[in-house]
Amino acid sequence: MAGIVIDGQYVSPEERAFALSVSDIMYGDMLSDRLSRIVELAEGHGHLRFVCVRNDSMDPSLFSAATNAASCTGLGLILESADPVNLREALASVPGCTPLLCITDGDRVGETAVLSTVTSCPMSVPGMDTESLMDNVEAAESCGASELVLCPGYANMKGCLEINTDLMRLETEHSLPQASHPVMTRTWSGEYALSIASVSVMRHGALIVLDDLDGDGCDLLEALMDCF
Amino acid sequence: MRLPKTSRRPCAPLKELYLGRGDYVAGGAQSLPFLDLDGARRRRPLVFGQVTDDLNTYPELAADMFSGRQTDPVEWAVMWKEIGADGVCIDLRSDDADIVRRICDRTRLPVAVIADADALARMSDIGDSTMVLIGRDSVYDGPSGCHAVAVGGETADDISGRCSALESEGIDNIVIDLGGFAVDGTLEDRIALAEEVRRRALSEDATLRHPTMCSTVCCWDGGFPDARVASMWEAEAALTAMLAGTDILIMRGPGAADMARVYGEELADL
Repeated sequence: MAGIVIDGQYVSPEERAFALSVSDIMYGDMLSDRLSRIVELAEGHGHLRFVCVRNDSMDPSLFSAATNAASCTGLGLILESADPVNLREALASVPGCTPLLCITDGDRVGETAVLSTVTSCPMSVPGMDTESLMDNVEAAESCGASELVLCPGYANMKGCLEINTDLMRLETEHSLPQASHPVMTRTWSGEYALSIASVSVMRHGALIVLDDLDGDGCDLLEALMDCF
Repeated sequence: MRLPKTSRRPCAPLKELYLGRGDYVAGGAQSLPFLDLDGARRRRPLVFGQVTDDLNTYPELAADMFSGRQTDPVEWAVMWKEIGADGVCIDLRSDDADIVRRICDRTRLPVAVIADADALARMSDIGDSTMVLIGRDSVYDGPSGCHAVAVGGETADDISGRCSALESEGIDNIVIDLGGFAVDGTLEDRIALAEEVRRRALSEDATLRHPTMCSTVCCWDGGFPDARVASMWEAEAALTAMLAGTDILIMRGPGAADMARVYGEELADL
């Protein structure tokens, strides 16, 4: 699977990276403390190269403020929202950055693809199963987007194993172009999320976005990424 | 979009090994591990808890997790049964075969024994439970009775040759020992070996059709500050081993063993 440049950083199944997230419902000291903690963790973990800003508030101004604060960390940016309009607003608050635009609403892939094309930012394409994911990739490509990351929706660890294997076979055994993009794994926090991340690392995942992980978990994920 | 078919047809099941009193079975894979799209069998790897009769080289961090019962290997084995292990692996340093007999009787679980050849030779008398005999420094080639013998090696060819040699002597109860799994610089090679063994077995290399085992106990040698962190690392090592196709896991920490069992159940869709 090919690699991709996200906000100036190259990511591929051979050069994996992970991200920790902040929510835009955090503000003031809560937000800055959280970002400081992520920066602190990134200093000791070379694969922690991104910070993901989640638009939990659905409010464009809060999302933009959190994005702007996150841009000061020096880490690559991932912007996650269900609304392409909010993505556009947040993007305007960080001129010069080319974050990954992570749309969570599968029905709005087309609008996000147009935004991706206009701004030269890569985008992630969601899909609850392989078929819908490939359909969404086709839709994004038809809108002009070419810098894509596949973002399958996993219900659990087994889902991650099955879908990532399926995608790899579609690319390597069937040369399906829609499957040739790097795979991103979106997961939660704690030990179970870490196990999903591990499965993804072992099965062709390039980028892993976690809600949260403590220092010990980061040590382990870092070591796993170094092993493969 | 109409997608091409990516599934692979399951092959004839690999060899199964009935352990203990016949109520536990290892092996029998018919596809790459856990892939429903390939028709994987819904069977999770067996998790064996490690005990030893000599605590001198056993890490204190792990010993503290067994509430004092680690001072008696039989009681310790019973504790593993109480917390849900599928089997017990005893690292027998004293050569006292009676400890193994008592573990078999008290737990009625499958037992694996790591010991010197002389001690393993005495295990062949234990006839009411099928065990796995693991030579401490080399492949055990003495009398094995009804028990299975563990065979390791640096490469799949190496293992294949040794399995062939044992089979030509009429020994068919074999477990392929894939060595120690830890999340460190050795992991990639371990996984590559495990995956090659499984792939060749599924491709009709009959010498490698036996169940496989590995140990994750070495994870505790990493100098971790507390048992929670060590358990996390051991559980992840176990997960990588399972995904590489290992059928039996020998584990040290009860928390890690529990996580491995839960992961196995989820992956096998049980």
